[in-house]
Amino acid sequence: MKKKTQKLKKIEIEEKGNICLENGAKIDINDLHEKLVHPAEEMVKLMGNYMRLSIQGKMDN
Amino acid sequence: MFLKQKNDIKEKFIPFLKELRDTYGRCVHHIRCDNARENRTLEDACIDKELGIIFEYTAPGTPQQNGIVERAFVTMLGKTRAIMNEKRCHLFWMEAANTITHLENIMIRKGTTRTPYYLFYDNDAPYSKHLQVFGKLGFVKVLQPTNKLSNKGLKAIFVGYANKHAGNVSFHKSKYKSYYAF
Repeated sequence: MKKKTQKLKKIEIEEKGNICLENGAKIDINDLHEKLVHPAEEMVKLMGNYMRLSIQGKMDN
Repeated sequence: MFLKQKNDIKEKFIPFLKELRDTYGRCVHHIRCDNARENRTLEDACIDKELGIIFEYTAPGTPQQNGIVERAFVTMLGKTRAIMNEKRCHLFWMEAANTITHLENIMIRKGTTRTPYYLFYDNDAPYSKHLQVFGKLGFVKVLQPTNKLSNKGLKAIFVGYANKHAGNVSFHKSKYKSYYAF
């Protein structure tokens, strides 16, 4: 059972669907942070505003 | 722009300068560089081609005079190292550096309202709406399948944004071949 859940988690991490970046799209801040190659939180928010995305969630430390 | 040898700078850089002038109407007037030999040869080539570029050399052994570029290189290499370590693909150092350069061009700075790409080309980058995570797994369409029952897609990883192409660049590991995909 434990192995199964680990496998599912791995698939979730590796096989994530493409996230929409059109105007007004909702996006998790951690996903945008990863896409922009890990800039600071402030920069991620600035970029989100520039790309007209609605950012959701909190940054993982 | 990546060079196999430093001597190749003439062959690569002068067509780039001409493209900037003819296609985008951006004339380069000054180039600030260090005293490396390839920069001297580039200056000679620019004089031969009558491009009218003034070369400004820094004092020998004083990279501080070219501080902005030196700092930018360190930042870029740090980010490149980080994404290569994250995805454990040290084979694709060039693609990683290229991806970082593409991303830095579309990143907004503090106290500015426009990205560097917008300031240069007067429009946003086409790839800015299709950002991908470096090293992400994906499937590339096989354009010429061998038969009806052969696979229609190949498993590949994302290695960067294409220049002068609508798609992104993906790489198929087992075939050691790169593909353009969207």
